[in-house]
Amino acid sequence: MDASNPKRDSCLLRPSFGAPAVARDYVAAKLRTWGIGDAYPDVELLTSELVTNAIRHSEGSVELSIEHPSADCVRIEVRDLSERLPVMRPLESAREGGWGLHIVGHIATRWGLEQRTGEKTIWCEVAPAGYDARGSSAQTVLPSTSSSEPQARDSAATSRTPRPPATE
Amino acid sequence: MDGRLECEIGEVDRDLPRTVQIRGEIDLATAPDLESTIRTVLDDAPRGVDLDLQNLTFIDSSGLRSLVAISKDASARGLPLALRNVPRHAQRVLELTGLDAWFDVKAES
Repeated sequence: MDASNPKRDSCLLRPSFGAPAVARDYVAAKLRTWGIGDAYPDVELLTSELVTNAIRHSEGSVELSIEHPSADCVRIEVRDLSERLPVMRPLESAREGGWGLHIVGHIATRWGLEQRTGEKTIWCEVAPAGYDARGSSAQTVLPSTSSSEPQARDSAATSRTPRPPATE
Repeated sequence: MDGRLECEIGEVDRDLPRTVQIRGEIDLATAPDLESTIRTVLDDAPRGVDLDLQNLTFIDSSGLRSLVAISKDASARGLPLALRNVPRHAQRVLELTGLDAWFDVKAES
């Protein structure tokens, strides 16, 4: 698949506290290679949040993929070997952490989660800097509570609207 | 300390907060080092601590988490802790998480 699409690449990250930094370096290098190094300043932050989440809540290696599917989009996917879905706590009660997914939810244009037997993938898509896709919060396809039952999911079936659109 | 984070620790002053200049990145790898460094600084900081973030190049939710832990520790000791010279990228994640209102953020000096 990667060979047929030159704007998609992936790597395997060892489970360590250093993985988020390695992941940031990796995506920054990919964006430079693709000639869009300055256009997507949020990709490193988003990648760091998704990889941190995977490292903290699963065991084993983490697969990071980055894709530039169209002129105004970069997609990041992080796959880990845990079926457990992240819990998105309300901001008011998140005084000890749990901010990562809120940051992703605010910055990404879309994000979501796919759960399969023995693994899950969290993905997000981001627009170039200055691209006016905001004004409304990201479209989210993540369940807002965790589920212990692995289910086959597709985006449409899990679509929810966890927060009202921002008004500016 | 991880090579991606450096802390330059200022002298103890009886009348002013002790300044710690933070250079580099605060993430999952460097946050524990930052916390232990600042805890040690708080041991000898009669007027509290100013964290100077001017040279902070990256911070994510792990970094926010450690700043909150440090701030709570200072507060438990009755010492003020402020963030100074907060760069735009850090201000943004503070605002996105609502933590900007929670921290004592001093304007760029």
